[in-house]
Amino acid sequence: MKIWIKTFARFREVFGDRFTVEVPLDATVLQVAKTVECMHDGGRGMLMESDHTIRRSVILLRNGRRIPGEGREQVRLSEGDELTIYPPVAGG
Amino acid sequence: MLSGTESERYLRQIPLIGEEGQEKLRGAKILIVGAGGLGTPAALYLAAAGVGQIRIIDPDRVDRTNLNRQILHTEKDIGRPKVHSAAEKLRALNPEVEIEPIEDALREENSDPLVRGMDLLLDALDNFQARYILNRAAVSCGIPLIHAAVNGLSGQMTTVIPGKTPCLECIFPHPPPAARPPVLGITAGMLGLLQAGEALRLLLSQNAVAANRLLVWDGREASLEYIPMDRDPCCRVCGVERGSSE
Repeated sequence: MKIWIKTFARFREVFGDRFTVEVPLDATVLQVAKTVECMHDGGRGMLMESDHTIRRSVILLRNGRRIPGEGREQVRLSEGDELTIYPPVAGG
Repeated sequence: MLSGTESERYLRQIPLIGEEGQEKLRGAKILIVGAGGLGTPAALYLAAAGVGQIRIIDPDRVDRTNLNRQILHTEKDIGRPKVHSAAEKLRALNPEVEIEPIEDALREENSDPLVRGMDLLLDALDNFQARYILNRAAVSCGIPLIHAAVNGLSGQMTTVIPGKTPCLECIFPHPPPAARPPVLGITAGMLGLLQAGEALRLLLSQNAVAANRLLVWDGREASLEYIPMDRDPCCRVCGVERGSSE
C-alpha cells in the first residue's frame, strides 16, 4: 500500500518534503519509519535509534493528528494515510 | 495618558494599536529567559515597541562565537555578562522602558520568584532541561509562555496558555538530543522576532497565532507551516488525568 510522508526541518533536507512510500498492507508506524530511513544513506540514525526503535523525541502525526504514547510504533496505517514526521530542535 | 515623548516615539505604531494599546504595553512585564540568539532580537523589538518592564536572565558571558546571531552584543562586549551587555543596548534604544538584568541561570529553586508577577514569559533558552523548569513555573503560576528553538536554517515556536493549550511537556514529552547545533544568525533572528510578535499580540489581548500548534519556520524556502498539537490528558505537568495512571 501507499503511505504519504510529510517531513520538516533537517529531515526535509535529507528525505524530501512530501513523498510516498510503498509498504506491506497494514504496515505499522515502525515499519514505515524504517522504510523512510532506508531511503537515503544520509538519513541513517536521524529517525531511528541504534536499537531500531523510533527516536522518542520525534513527533509523529497520522493524518494531522498526533500519534501519542509508547505504543505509537505499533499503530497500523491504512492505504493513503499521511504520516507527518517532525524532529524537534533545541538551540537558542 | 502618554507623555509627549512617548507620543512622538510611538507615532508610527499608535495608528495600529491605539493609545490604549500603547499604554497596555507600557504597563506590561515580560521575563525573557536567555540573552542569546533568540532573546536578543526579541528583547530589542519589545523594548523598541515600548514594553514597560523587561526582566532578562542569563548566566553566561559574551564570547566571539556568539556574535553571528546574538545581535545586542558587539566585539567590545566579549567577556561581559550577556545580560549587562544587552541591558545597556536596550536602555540606549529606549530609556523609557525598565530593564532588569539578572546574571543567573533559571533553576527549579529560583523559577517561582522570577516568573511571579510577570505578564508573559519568553523561552529563549538553548536546552530542554531549563525549558521544562520554565514550563512548570509557567503552568504553576498561570502565566503564558512563548517557546522557540532553532537549528540550522529552521526553527519552531509554540505558545502555552496554561489550562487552555498544550504545555511544553505535552508537545515535547521527550527532549531532542542535547547538542550545540549550527545556526545561521537570521534563523535565530526570525524566531526571536516571531516570539516578539506573538508577545505583542498577547499583551494587546489579541489572538495567539501559535497556541495549540507548532509553528515551523524553514529558512531554505522562507516558509511557515503549522502542525496541530493537542493537550495530553496524562501530561505530568498540566494533564487533567495526571497521576491517575501512576
